[in-house]
Amino acid sequence: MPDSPALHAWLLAVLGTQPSSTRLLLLFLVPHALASVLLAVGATLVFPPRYRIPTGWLLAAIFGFVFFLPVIGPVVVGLGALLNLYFPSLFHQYVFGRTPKPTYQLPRDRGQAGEGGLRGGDARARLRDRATPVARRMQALLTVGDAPTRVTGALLRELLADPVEDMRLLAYGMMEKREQLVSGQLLRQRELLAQARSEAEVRVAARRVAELYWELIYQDLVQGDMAAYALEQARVHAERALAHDHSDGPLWLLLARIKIRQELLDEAEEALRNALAGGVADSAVLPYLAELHFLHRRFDKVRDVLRQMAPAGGVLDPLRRYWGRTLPGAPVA
Amino acid sequence: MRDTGIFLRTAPQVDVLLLLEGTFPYVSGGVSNWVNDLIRGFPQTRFGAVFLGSRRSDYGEPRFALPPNLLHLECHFLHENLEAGGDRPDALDGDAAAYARVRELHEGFRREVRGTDALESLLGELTPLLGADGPLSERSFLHSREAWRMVTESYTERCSDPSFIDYFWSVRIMHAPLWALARIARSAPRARMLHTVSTGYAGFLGVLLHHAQGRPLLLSEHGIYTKERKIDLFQASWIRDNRGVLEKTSAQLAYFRELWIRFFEALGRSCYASATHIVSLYEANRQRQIADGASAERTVCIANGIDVARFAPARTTRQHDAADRPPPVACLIGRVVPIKDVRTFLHSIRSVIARLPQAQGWIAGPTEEDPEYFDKCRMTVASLGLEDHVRFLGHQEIEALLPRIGLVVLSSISEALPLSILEGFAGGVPCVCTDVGSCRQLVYGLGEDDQALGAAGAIVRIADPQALGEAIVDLLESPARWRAAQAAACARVERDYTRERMFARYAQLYDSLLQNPPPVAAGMAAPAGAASS
Repeated sequence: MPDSPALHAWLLAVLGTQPSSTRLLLLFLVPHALASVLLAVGATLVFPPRYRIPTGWLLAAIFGFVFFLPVIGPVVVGLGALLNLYFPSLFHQYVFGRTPKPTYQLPRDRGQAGEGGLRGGDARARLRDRATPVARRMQALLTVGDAPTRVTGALLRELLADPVEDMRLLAYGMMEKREQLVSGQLLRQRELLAQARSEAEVRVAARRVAELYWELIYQDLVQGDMAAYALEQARVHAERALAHDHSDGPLWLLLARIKIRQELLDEAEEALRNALAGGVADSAVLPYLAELHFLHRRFDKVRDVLRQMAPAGGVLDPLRRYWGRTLPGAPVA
Repeated sequence: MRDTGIFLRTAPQVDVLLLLEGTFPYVSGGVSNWVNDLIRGFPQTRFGAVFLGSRRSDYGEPRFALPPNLLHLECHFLHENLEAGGDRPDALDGDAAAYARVRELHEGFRREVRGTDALESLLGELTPLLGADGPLSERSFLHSREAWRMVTESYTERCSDPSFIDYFWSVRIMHAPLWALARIARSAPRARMLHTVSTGYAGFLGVLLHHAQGRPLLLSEHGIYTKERKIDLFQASWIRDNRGVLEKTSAQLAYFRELWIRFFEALGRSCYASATHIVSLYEANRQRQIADGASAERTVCIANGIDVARFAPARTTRQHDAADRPPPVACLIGRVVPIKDVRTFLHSIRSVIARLPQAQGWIAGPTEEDPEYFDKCRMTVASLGLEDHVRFLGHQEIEALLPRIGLVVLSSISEALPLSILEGFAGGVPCVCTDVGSCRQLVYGLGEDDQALGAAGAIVRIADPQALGEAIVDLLESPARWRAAQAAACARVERDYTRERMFARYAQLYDSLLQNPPPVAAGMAAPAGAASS
């Protein structure tokens, strides 16, 4: 303790020449209490938020700890506060984390006779559960098989690698049938195009060929290099038909969709403008225009375009509502 | 006048009577080659053969020179002259007891009754009644009141399709060939043993002959006939579904599709019940046979084998480039039919040439079996712009073809143990094939010792042209990988898939059945020497 005349004078004034034990105690306790309060307040401020409530009780707890454990208490609290400041991950609860993908747990089959008409989700879960008896999985496959391939294509392709051969073959048969429907028409239309003589015949045949190649893409019947080839053929034939009739709005719209898939975005935008000029309704064109702006990352234009669309029900309305809310104060459409 | 068959050779008695459906000698392909090799592999054995086909017009001239020890060959076409000609016969009452037993037989099939003895006993009792004047004659089936009663009761109790007319004619058409088979069985040469190469109609002919002549029946299944018919029936568009919108449930197959599937399943079970030995090519197929009703103790695996020495010289005449890359040719060796899924192969070539512009895709196999499918394949080539990269070669001499190709490719949706892969291996050519049948064990090996030989190519899932194309390019572009695959292919075929090994196994079976035939079951016909029924 520093040897200071002022301090000596102060102590003499407080304690007197014959200090009592009470006075000595108070001389220790009062500053100690004050220090404890300050330490409690400081520690509370650096505590993780979820531990700060209720604040009063927290202050009281830290104060008590520090006050009644004169050396240990402040050291421990001080260490804790430093750890929290410099190593927050030890204390903080992060709001983001990883959680496993939820899976539908199918109640185990007890070998009861099956009912017809499974709902789509039940059927898919049953198809993926290889412990389900084969007969019921076949039934489930027949149930989902009626849905369009653009909905079931991925699932059917998974089943091509199923360990049960009958499942593989049934899935293959379903996919093959659908692909043949489109391919058969495509082959016939290509023959008609090869035989076409007049401009009108060429235009009609080329248009149909473009539509059928696009159908292969849209129905998810081709993947990878085959899909790229089909897309390119769709583009080539659409452009060939448009060379004979520049005012075919719906075909311009198809061409725009093709070019979006091919990531030819500027050309797609021009095709959409031509579609509008060709008489296609705004409601058909605007969603693709919004998609183009999104791909260009022109998000303000996405909002502008979606705002122009009238509510029509269906999958686009949630999009419209979302984009309509993203500007502060923007009204909910 | 009904078809009485074409007799290319005749003999009153043979040692082994082969029963062949849609194969040798009219159709080229793996099974036909196998039959040809089998006959020539046992030159001291007197063979006869009965060929069953659909229509005469579907087949040209025989594709094989007939071996000298094939003493008898008769050919019948089951879908010709099915309708009874002539005057309309009088109605019959029919034999109620006989039809009651038929109902029992159908019930047994429906309940998939295990216990081949019961089924064998019923078949033994009923098959002799199929004779021209028997209680279950064709005339009785077509014109008796008992038959009519059975059909109408079955329709009422079981048919979920609203059309009785379609049900009636479906039942008639599917059963009609059975009486043709009964006629063939009555006039067939005497044999010391019967050997059918499939179930189906040939297998049922085996059942009839087994009961008529009292001789043992051997069944060798390459594919599983019933499974292959199921594939056809799943995809068939000629099968009617008359259910209305409110009746139809997508969770059920069309009734007539199920009816045809069950019919072929019943033919299969009949053959399994009557066969003394049931041979499959690999274990998974043997398990399939057991699941389809075969008695496990009668089943055995005998893998196909080939004449390795015949193809080995092709290894030394290969045409690799300066960097030891193989010819950039992926070759599908097989018939151009839907089960080979040639269209997936063609789609894969589009992927291949995107990465390897000089690559070629060849299809070496007959194209006459399914002209409509072949047309679709040709048009697919045109629609994919592959005219400069794809060639349909028709039937080829494999030894001459192998040095010119880089890979044997199989894109089939179903296979057993493909001879084309074995022949490719023997000729030093690895393969890329779909994960069907025994292809995985051929490419990667079965068991530790076999797997230690390495991968003889690559396996992809069915109907995945992208994966097939990528696997083809990976091998063609990597000389080191290709050479390693070639080494594994040669080692594997030389060790486990030789013709000598296969013939040794069949020699054991033939000896056991020819020298020590199983005792004739009670009620069955006496063995060779008795008059034909």
